[in-house]
This record gives sequence, structure tokens and C-alpha cells, in this order.
Amino acid sequence: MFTFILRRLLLAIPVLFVVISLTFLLMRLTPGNPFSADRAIPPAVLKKLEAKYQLDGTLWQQYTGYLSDLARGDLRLSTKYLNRSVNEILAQTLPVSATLGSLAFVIALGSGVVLGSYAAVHQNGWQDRAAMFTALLGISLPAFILAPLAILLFAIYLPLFPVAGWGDLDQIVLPAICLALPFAATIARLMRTSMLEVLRLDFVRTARAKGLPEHVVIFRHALKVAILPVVSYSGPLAASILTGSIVVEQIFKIPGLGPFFINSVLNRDLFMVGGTVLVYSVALILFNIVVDVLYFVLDRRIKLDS
Amino acid sequence: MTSDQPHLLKLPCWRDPSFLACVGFVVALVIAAIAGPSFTGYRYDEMGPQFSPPSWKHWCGTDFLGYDLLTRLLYGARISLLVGFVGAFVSLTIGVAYGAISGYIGGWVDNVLMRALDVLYSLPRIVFVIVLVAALEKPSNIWITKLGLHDIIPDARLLLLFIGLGLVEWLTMARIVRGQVLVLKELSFVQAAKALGQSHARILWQHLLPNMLGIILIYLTLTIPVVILEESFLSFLGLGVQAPAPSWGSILSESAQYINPLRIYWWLLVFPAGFMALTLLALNFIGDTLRDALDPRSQKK
Repeated sequence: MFTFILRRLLLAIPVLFVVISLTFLLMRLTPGNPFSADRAIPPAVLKKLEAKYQLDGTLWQQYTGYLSDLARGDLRLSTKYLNRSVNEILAQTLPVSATLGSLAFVIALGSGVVLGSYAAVHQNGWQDRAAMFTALLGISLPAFILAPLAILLFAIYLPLFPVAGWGDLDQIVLPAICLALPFAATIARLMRTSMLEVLRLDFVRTARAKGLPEHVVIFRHALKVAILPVVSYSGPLAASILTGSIVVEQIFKIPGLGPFFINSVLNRDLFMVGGTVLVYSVALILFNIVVDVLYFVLDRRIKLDS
Repeated sequence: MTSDQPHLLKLPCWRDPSFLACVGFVVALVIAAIAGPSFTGYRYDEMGPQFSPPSWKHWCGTDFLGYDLLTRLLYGARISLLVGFVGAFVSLTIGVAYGAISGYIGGWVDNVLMRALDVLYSLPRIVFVIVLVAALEKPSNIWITKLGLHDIIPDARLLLLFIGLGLVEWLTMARIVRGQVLVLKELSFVQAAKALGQSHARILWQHLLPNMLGIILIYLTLTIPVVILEESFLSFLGLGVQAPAPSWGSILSESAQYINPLRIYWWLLVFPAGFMALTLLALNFIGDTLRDALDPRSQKK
């Protein structure tokens, strides 16, 4: 187990290296400068700015300088937000996005697993059809369609929740649900398929033959095995929630990382883009390692070191 | 060489009314997207009264600049469907090539390529598309000007979207194709072709590919809605097609800015959301039904 985690962490280093190199070179090699999007800057001023942000010298020097700063955990200064470091911006915005994202993750997982199992138990009945139609509809309604509609319905026509903002408990409900629902739909479909397969297995028949009540058979015995595909899907799920939260944060005016990232891309804010992409990738790689370990804990048949 | 997979057009789902309804909807939408904008009586950038609710003059109302919403939605359908189809096709090309090579060569090459795929699966791919589109916009305009094609500059973003979205959505296709190749390459007709001394490229192209066509087409139909969704996502963020040309995502994001409790312009949200949701629902349903019909595992119910 320990060697497995260590190996995965070591494998992550080349991946992050490629990610950061691609981002840096793409941003630096294409025309346009990271200080002003449209105005041309006088050469003397540009030279000074480049020196301040360590963007002078050859491309190779800039690149290796940036890499060594990153290795020390210094994500450098934002080229757009004056005198603010990328570390500082991330420290302010990342917790907000993480809160929203993890709540959405829990909602998606919980409702998806319940809906999918429910559909599987009532296979081919009207409950199954209704649940699966809901799930198909959910997949076709991404967060950026759901969110404006939800605001219209539940914040304006029926003023149950605030329209936008961040800080109060009731301000997180609507965005988290909008972010979660499309993924809940995907999980429900996965869960249904896998539950149907598990319900045919021998150990479920044994459990039923013992005379256990149906809900015990399903929730204690079958669910443990049937949830495995959902566990392995939660890696890509986390990635999608992360990108989904970019639009949700924008619509609900939530001060998370998403709007900063989009602005920094549009402004060619080199180090802000680099830092955000790096943080996104690190978060997902760590999350995937956790998922794989969890998979191992849940399914003893898998051997991590093989 | 025979395929034991049933022909796509002979599947039982062609007698399923909801499947036919979805196919009909998509066909109607394609026709409306191609022909519709010239029949609504307005250009997509023709200004009229602002914020007028749906009426006989403007079936879906007008937006904050007085543009006719129906015209813009149909024009947006053109762009969304175009990006969806072309982007899915780009992803198909990459995915099939990657999967076929990985499965056909096998051994350590297969191992390395599949691990790389696992890594790509877990990265925020759309984030790279955002960076790619933003970074390559200026250079692509410069190249186009150099080639003397000034006229297509407004459409340059479309080109970037085709490539960018195609570049991120090929992973599932690659996995499916690799799995198929692994099975097919052990079959006797492929072994026979090898024994006859046919080249690897020829075996892949003439023997393996035709046998995978059904499953490739199904995953193509499943990729189209995903690409449409991603295009609208990017347009919503202002990285898609450029104003005043409309796309579903940019229409929605403009409408979202005019949500306020004092004056409710419901048509600005309901029509774009309805158009998009119905289209994605129909495309997803078609893809699902075809997959279930061809996947032997889902048949043993």
C-alpha cells in the first residue's frame, strides 16, 4: 500500500512537469504580452516590467527560472493584479471553490447512488423508467442551463433562496445543487447498471435465502460491491465538478477560483494561469490516488502492487 | 470477411416510437438550422424593439439589443451542431488511430499508451482547451491573414473550437477501439490476412476497421452531445464564437446577466435552455438506444 502511494506520487511529477511546461510555453510563445491585452507598451516600460516579473533573458532562462520557483512553492506574482502573489490569490479563493465543490460532490454521490439503486430494484417498472428519464434529462441539463433557470424559479418567482452571493449558509444551497445534478444523473445511470449485475450474483441469492429483509440485502450486501464503478468514476467526476464550478461561480457571483481563472486566461496573466492549472492538476492527481486507495479498501480482490 | 454485428439500420430500435421521435427532432433541427434563419424574417443582428415578449411578430421575443431571439437560436443551432459534428469527427479520428495502434501493437507500447490515457482521464482537460483557445487566438488570426484569407477571421474561433474540443474528447473512443482490436486481431480471418503477408496498415484499414464501424458510429453519436455541451460552456465563458454571431452558450450567458427581481424576461432564459436541453436529450437518447441495441451485455436483462 505504502509503495503504491509512493509510486503514484512519483509518477505524478512527470505529469505535472508536462502540464506546466505546456501551459508556460503556450502562453509565452504566442504573440501578446502578459501585462496588457490590447494596448502596446513602450519598449522601455516593457523591459522594466519583464525584469520585475523575471520574464527577461532567453526563453530557456525564463522557463527554468519559473520551474525552480515552482519547485520551491513560489507561484510568483500575478501580472495583472498589481503586487498580489498567485499564492495569496489562491489562498483566498481556493477554499471557497473547495467548499462548493465538495458539497456538490456529496450531493451528486448521495442522490445518484440512491436514485440508481432505486431504479435497479424496480427494474423495468415505472419507477425505473421515471428515474432513468430523470437521469437522461439531468445529463442534458448542464449547470450553466440549470443555474439561471433555478435562480429564476427559486430566487425570483419563489423567493426561497438569495439570487447570488457568498457567505451565508442559504447562499450555498442553490449553486451546490445546480453543480451536482448533472453528475448525480451520470452516477445514477452507472449505479443502476452495476446494481443490476450485482443483484444477479450468488451471494445476493444467499443473503435472500437466509431470509434477510430486502433492504438489508440491498444496502448492506449488494451496495458494497455495486458501488465500485461509482468509486472509480469519482476521479473524472471531481475533474468535471471542478470545471463546472467555473460557470456556477460566475453565475452566482461566488468569489471562488473559477472567475479568477477565466479572467487570467483572457488577460494572459501568465503566472496566474500557470498557478491555477498547476493547482487544479495537483488536486485531481491527489484525489485520484485517494480514490484508488479507497477502491482497494472496498474491494479486497484488487491487488495494488501487482 | 463477415461481421456478426447486426446492421445499424436493421436494429429493432427503428420501430421504437420515442427513438423515432428523437431522430425526427434532430433531423428537423438540422433542417431548421440550415434553412430557418432565412425564413424568420430577421437577420441575427437586426435590431428591433428591446425586450419584447413572445408575440406573432417575434415568436420567441427579442433580447436586450432588440435582436429576434428565434433567429438567433436557429443561427446558434447551426454553430452548435457544426461544432458538435466536426469536433466529434476530429475526436473520432484521434481516438480510433490511438486505440487501434495501441491494441494492434500490444505489449509494452499498449501498456504505456493506456497508462497515458489514464493520466489524461484524470486531468481537467477542458481547462487546457480554455488556455489553448485563448493563447492561439491571435497567432491563428495572424496566420490566416498571411494566407490572405481575411474573410474567415470571424470564424477562426470555430476552427480553434473544432480542434480544441476534438483534442479532449477522444479518450473513451480510444479505449473502446483498443478493446475491439484486442479481440478482433486474434480472430482467424486476421491471422489469415497476416499469413498472406498483408501489411499491418492494410489489415487495420481493410479488416479491422470495417468490423468496428458500428461501435465507432455509436460512440460518435454519444460524443456529439458532449462536444455541443463543451462548446456552449466555452461560449458561455466568452471563449466561443465571437459576438454578434450567436451561439446557444453566449445567448444563455447574455440572458443570465438580465436576471433581476424587478423585471422578469423569462423568454430570454426559457427558450435557449429549452432548445439546448431538447437537442441534448434527443442526441443522448439516440446514442443510448443504439448502444444498448448493439451491446450484448445490456440485452441479457
